[in-house]
Amino acid sequence: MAIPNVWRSAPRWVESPPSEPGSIDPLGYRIESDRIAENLLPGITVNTRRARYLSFLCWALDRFGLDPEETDRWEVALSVGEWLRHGSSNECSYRGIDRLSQLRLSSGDLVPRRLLQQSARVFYAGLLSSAGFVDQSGELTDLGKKLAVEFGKAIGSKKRPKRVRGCAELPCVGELRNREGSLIAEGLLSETADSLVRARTFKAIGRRLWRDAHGDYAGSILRCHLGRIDPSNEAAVLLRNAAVLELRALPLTRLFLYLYEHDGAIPGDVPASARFRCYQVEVEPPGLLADVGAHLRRAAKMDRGEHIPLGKTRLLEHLQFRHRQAKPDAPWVTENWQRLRLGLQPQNPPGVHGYRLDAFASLLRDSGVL
Amino acid sequence: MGHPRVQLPQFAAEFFRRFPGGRRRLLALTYRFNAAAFEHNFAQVLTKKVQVDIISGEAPIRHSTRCRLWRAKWPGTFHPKLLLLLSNDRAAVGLGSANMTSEGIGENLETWAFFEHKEDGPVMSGVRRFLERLDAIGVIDPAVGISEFVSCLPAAADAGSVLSTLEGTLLSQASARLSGPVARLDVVSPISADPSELVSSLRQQFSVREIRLFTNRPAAAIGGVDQYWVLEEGKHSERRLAQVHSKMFAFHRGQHVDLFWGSANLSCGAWLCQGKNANVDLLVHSRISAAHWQGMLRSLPENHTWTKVSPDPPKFRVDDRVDAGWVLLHGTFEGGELHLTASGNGPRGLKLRTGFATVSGNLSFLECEAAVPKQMARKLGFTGDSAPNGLDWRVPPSAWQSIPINTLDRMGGAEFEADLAGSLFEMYAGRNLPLLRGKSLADDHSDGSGRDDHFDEEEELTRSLHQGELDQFVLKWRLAVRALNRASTGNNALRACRIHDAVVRITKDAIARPTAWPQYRQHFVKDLLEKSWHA
Repeated sequence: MAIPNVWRSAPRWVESPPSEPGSIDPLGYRIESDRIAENLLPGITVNTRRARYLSFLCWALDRFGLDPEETDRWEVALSVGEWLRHGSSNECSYRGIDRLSQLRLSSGDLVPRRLLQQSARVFYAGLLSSAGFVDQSGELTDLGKKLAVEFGKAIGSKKRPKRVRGCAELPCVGELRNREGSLIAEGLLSETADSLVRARTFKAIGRRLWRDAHGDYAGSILRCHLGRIDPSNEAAVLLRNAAVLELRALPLTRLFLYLYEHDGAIPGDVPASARFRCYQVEVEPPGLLADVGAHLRRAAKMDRGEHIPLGKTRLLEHLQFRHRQAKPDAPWVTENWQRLRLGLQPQNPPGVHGYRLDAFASLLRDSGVL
Repeated sequence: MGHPRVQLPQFAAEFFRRFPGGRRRLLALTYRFNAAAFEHNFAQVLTKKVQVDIISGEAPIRHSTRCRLWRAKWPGTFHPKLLLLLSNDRAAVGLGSANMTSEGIGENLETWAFFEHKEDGPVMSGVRRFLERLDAIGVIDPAVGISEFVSCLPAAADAGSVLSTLEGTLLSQASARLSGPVARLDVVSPISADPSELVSSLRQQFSVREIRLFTNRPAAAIGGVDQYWVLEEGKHSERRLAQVHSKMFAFHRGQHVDLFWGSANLSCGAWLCQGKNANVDLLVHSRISAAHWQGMLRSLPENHTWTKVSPDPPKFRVDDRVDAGWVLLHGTFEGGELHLTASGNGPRGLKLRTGFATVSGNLSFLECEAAVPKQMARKLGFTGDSAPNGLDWRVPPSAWQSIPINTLDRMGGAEFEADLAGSLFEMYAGRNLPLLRGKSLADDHSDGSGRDDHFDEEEELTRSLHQGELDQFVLKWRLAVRALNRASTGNNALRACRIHDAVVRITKDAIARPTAWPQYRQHFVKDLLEKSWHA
């Protein structure tokens, strides 16, 4: 047999393509909803869900000071402990749950150095300051020190475990000590100016609604604010503004995504009248155009702010206008609805914006307020 | 020093930018395909007039409105990862370990290389031979038009530096290329089923003194492997790689390394099987220095590193492609008998459904085929003179799935238009015919190139709109043939293949629409194609 040909060079590692500057917000409504959320719940983000990370971070700051790497490694050890206790079930949601499920660690393995790109230190930094646990220079306040002591009691004299099996002894992020919970509640609702704003929102919504609104917090809470409200109550006015914004944002975003996927073609027209089903918008025609029309009519009745035409041609022109304002540098489609950037449609149809209400409710539940 | 990296979508976009031909195609052969991830990552390519065909081993995740999707007709695992780019008569070939999914394109540890130059001949001719084999044994539907790519790749008497499971076992092909003992074998591969038998064969065949395995955590103990290394995120990584999916086999022989890399895992299905039970896999044989190989292992993307670990007790998953992934592929109805082809063997309790009836039964698949009892076939509407062109099936409790009958699985995608001359012109010129679809000649630089490469007949066609339909017919076909010829300049085999494709399509169209194709028109167009060929 002849000597076969050999190629004299090696293959290359594949590099990730640069990420597209896209999002699931083609019409720019997220900027408006974020602005309202910041005024309703300052310091809260969609990622600040577990109250005990606040006490853990106060303890870590007290103990390790300026050694962020040690803090991050303790955080990973806490997550591994949660994974040993709860596996991938959602009963006690903790950071890194998906990554740990993929890793399939054995008890004798070393604890991973890192699980997630961003650590709890980064995610909770804003809330630590907003709730008065650290001051502007990043030092622990008296309240923060008290919280650190409480978490220290749960940790005891344990050293950071090196192996997976050692993490089982670490405290659970869902089981706060009573005193720990009340200190966090104090920070969330009464310690600083931000806390008072959050407390005002908490009162405006009412303890019953907070408790009843399981699952879809934003949808349930905003729906209740489409009715009559006290105009002197600032938080109630903000919630009403959010409720009206969603009457436009939800149907128009769904309509845009349909047009994006179908090159701007949608059969039928916006019917002259249709039943209004609050925040329920079909994703396909003919129900889509009927729900869009019903929501826009209700929005126009409640607030004369943004005028949106209901004729199909003008409505599509309006969508194009809004899209071009939201994405001036990287539009998804041409003015003839020809796609310029592909694959930007989300896996699931978008719902109403969350206004961080879900994350705040989770913190309140953890700290024993709810 | 960092080793060079490759970005798949970037190379494809750059290729079509460097060679802005009229006829542009992208063909991907992949095991898994995710349409949304592909469209997102290859957006720069897909916004141009590029005909995109995807042939996948598994059913694709989401359908695409931009790509023509096909399922490979192969009873085992269709596992190659190949990307072919064509611009007029210029071709580039990319191959490696990456599927056309978000994980493959940018989240896993994958290896890949593109080839397009003269010195890449051994790889390109090997890929040509592989495509010819796929075409010859009917794994790929002729409608994909794979011969267009074949014509653009260099021919060679042997398989060049490419090994494929269609030529025999990978083990026998690798051993034909290596002589003498191997000091060490480094394997980079994910592990899904127990490869002990393969490891033992490799040790024996090449007298390997030491085997090191670079894989995912946890590393399960495998008989015959001496060292286990797992992927670890570096201290300064900005992003964690999802998993090791690269497949490389480095045989250390003195100062150099014989490297086999591509789509084949460290698995018996890839290396030891042949015929219809084997995976369809590809490997490239490269020879590099030992220092280069060490450097490559050290310079992983995203600052990742390899960490030496002790193996865990053996804990292999059942290969889900073989068992849980069992699927019906297609059916044939000939001579009154309905035969079904599946991805695996053994008895199966199936429910079958057509517009006529739903029936249940046990079928025994031997060599991946089973005959449906005549009574059951009749109930489903498969009678002597008629047959449905598709069939739904399910293995309870899973959901219904569809297979085609008497045709390969074509899964939607862009269709050609009824105006054959117009669509041929669009195919080969990369733009629409003037004044069709309301566009004027001056406006029609559809890819923004602004090139001045229009044919004289285009102006004439614009003026002919007030003339008779026959004038337009003649001008359109002249333009289509001119565009075809220009896209095939300098490559007679490619031009012959495209003319053949055009003639086949005319014949089919004439059967479907006889009034549109009286004899004199067929003669005229075929004559035009023939004359242009001889000119």
